[in-house]
Amino acid sequence: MEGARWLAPLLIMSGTGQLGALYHVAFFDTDVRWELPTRSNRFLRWLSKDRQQSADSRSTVPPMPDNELIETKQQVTDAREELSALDAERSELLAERRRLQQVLGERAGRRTMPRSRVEKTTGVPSFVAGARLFQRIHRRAEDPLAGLDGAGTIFSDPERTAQFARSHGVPSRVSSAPAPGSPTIVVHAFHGTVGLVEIRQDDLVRHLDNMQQDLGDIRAASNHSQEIPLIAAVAELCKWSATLSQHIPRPYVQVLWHEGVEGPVLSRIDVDPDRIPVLVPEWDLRLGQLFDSAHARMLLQPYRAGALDNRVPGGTFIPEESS
Amino acid sequence: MNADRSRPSTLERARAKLDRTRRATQRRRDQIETLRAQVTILTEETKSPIERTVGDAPDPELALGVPSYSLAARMHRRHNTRGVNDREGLDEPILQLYSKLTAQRFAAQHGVRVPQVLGRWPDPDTVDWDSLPDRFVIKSSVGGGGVNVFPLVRDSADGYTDMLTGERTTREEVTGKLWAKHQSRSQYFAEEFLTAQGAGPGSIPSDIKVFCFYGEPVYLEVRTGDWSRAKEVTSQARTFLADGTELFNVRALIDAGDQLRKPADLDEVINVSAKLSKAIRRPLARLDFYETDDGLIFGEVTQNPGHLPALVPEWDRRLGEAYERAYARLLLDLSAEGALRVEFGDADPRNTDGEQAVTSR
Repeated sequence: MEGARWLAPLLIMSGTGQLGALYHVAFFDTDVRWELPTRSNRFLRWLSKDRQQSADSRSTVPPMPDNELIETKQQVTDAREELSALDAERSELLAERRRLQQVLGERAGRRTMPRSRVEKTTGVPSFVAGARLFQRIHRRAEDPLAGLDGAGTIFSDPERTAQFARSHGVPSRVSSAPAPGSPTIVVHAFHGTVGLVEIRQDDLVRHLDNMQQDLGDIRAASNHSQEIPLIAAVAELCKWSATLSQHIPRPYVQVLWHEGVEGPVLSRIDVDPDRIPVLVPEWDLRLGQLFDSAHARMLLQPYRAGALDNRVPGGTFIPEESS
Repeated sequence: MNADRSRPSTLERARAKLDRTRRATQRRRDQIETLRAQVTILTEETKSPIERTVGDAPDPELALGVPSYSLAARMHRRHNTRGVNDREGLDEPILQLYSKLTAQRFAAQHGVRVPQVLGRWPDPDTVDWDSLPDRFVIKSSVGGGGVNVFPLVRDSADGYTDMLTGERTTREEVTGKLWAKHQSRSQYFAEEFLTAQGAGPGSIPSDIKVFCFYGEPVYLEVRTGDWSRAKEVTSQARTFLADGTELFNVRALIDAGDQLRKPADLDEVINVSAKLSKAIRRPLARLDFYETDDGLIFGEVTQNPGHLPALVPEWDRRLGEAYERAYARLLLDLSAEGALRVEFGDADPRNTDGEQAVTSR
């Protein structure tokens, strides 16, 4: 074809037939273009124009290295690679988000948990979470061992502990020194209610509920043993522990006892125990429910005194709307 | 055509392509940042409270744990909504402020501007529609999520536009909707139509929701679209600290809003929030305000938000610390007032041999 400066075969997909695409082979140059019965004419016009420019360019100015263009094209390539990597990461994150929503959904009896629903949960009670929360709060006191209510100071003093116990009619001696080999009974008390009794002997431990029923091995961190003998007075210890804990402004305390020659002896009341049992989920939940109720009971003391009332300048707020 | 004209064209196309790709890359980075935050939050949500507390401590029984706003706030909501407090006889005084009118009176007594009340009625049928101006908001005194809030603009003799949904409505329709959510303690009232600061009439101001910790406002959100009745409207939020620092991808499960304005007078929002929340003897409360042409106006007190923010771990911990600081201040105040103390009984404390059983109080 005379005058043709550029000739190229071009595959143009022109069909949408279900048996496969129908391809046309088109030959065209910058001067002569065969109009093809396809919807790709617009593309061909563009390509033709572009080729014209290229041809003109070759005819007048020799190609010069264009550093800026090369650099820009490289930047495009780099950016596309980054975008591609980000797309892959996004896909992974979306899949992980979907998986987590399914996990949460299954727990709620649904196929998936919509994101908007996640914040609607009230959560579940937890003994460890609740007890540790209050410890952290009380440790913000100027004297962390005393706590914000001073309970730690009172119960670090055996004499005052004894006074406290006797003032509530607990007929027990107070002594912090158990006999060697004597089991220690830790009553986990929730402001008037006992949730768990722990009997420790040497490295072994046994757990009872508040009805003195053995709970089996419910605590991963301890060496469970049913060989540790039960103590005859355990029911009384529970009753006394409940009484004492009811008068301490904490949702949870440990009341420790041991056996003396003449009967049970109060070892100490620990309002800030270092060790808190990490139990199997069912028991963490059960004791968590006790903790929740104990928290409410603990607040009854200031509530009844009117100390939780809303304040306004000059006094407390009177809620009646007619006032 | 020559090379001088063709070269810029190719270069320009390459630059444009680069620009597009970079914008797409930036969008993708933003999406990934949000997704990462969402995945982090959801991962925490799959953990039990005990796992969140003890983490990977070598001896979980000795782990003191770290503060968590989410665990603490959910505990308070659980106590209110699952009857824990009721069963124990604790009627938290903050619940007195559940009624919007009571809360407004509380705020007014602290010198905080509240919306002007145009009328009050015992039930939806007694609303005196004819006495109301062309623009007003009719509300039930109880209920959250905007479900009983109708900002109305009269557009005909008996017709109104509900500015929450943008739909036309009538007195009868609004009355029916109010009855549908009626509670025995509900009262109905109309108040002035507040307009957003600097916006035209009919514009509803965004909510400013301040998360307060017994006198310490820490975190606030400017929110819109938080309307239960306007289901098609996406809830959006911008999040700020009390010092005005904006936070991104902190509460990542809620869509961020780029159309929302930062509070114009943040100092006032913080001062008023601090004053009101210190007067509510609870470690956490949310206070809502509107910023209008007439200044900052109190909205309501929310004791137990329907949506408690699920935050990325760093901010869950920071707000958890604010909560624990607040509870410590409250307990210290109660203790100083003698309202929180170890109670000694009145059995005879002189007996030191421990053998005398006496009756406890």
